[in-house]
Amino acid sequence: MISLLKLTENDKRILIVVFLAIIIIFLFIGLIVSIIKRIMQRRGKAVDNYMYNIVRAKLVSKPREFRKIALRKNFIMFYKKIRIPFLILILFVIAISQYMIIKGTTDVSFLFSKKGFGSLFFSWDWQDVEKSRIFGITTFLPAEWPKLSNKPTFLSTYEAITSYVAVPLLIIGLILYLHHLVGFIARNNRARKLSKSVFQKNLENV
Amino acid sequence: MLSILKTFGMGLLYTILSPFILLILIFYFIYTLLAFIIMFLGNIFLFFKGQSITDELEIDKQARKILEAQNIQEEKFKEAVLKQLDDSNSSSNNENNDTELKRGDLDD
Repeated sequence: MISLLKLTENDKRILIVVFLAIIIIFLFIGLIVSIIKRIMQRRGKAVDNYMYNIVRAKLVSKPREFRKIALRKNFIMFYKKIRIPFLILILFVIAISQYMIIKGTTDVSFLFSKKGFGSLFFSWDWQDVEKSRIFGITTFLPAEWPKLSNKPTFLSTYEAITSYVAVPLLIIGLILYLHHLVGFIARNNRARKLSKSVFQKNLENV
Repeated sequence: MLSILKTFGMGLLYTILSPFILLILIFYFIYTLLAFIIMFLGNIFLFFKGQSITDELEIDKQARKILEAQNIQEEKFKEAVLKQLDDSNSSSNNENNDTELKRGDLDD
């Protein structure tokens, strides 16, 4: 049993690196989550802004009515904000469609490959690299840094030009869409919370 | 140290919950996309009627009118109270002047 748990110097080093990497990854995720939560709280405040007059004028008296109006206003706000990302995504669809029509194919796997947008970045050969062994078991972790398989180069082929136009449009459109989607969800959550608290009767402040 | 642990725990929790969060995001993505398309088509229809989906809602107009009326009433109330205060101040001043005058007569 003791001989089974005997670790080589290399195993120890790999274990320490993996352990530290896991801690850093979770800390990083936690940090991102707390930032997103703060952003959502700030963006949810829009509900207070657009429901203030209606509540002050006492035009709603039930949580259900409040949620209904808040959702409608949320959709209108979302509609106003999402027009630009939607237009960008439509441009992406047009860029891809023209390639598919002219080439007569539905295969768009070139978009992120070395023939397309991937040609602008460094890439390494992760497939053929030797995998490290811990406790005598081969893991998915590489034992050494892989060889460079692609250097950034600007290609002037039809596929490459299409991908240089389409991929940034897709990325920008999706990021903007997600940004506004998070705002929509934040406002929805805030409206649900407010619908309960606004009509709550509290005698402590009377 | 506690905050680091808290952040670490949050990272761990949200990593476990990430498939569900992703599912919710996908659901919202499709839901909002469909809603946007419906609103877009509705807006085209409204455009020919000289309206827009982003126009002020009826309930907002009502709220604005009610609040405006409330503000006007409040202003009138304030004015009335201030006028009353001015009147009472001036009448008390007159009374004071009268008594002072009477005192002056008596002294003479």
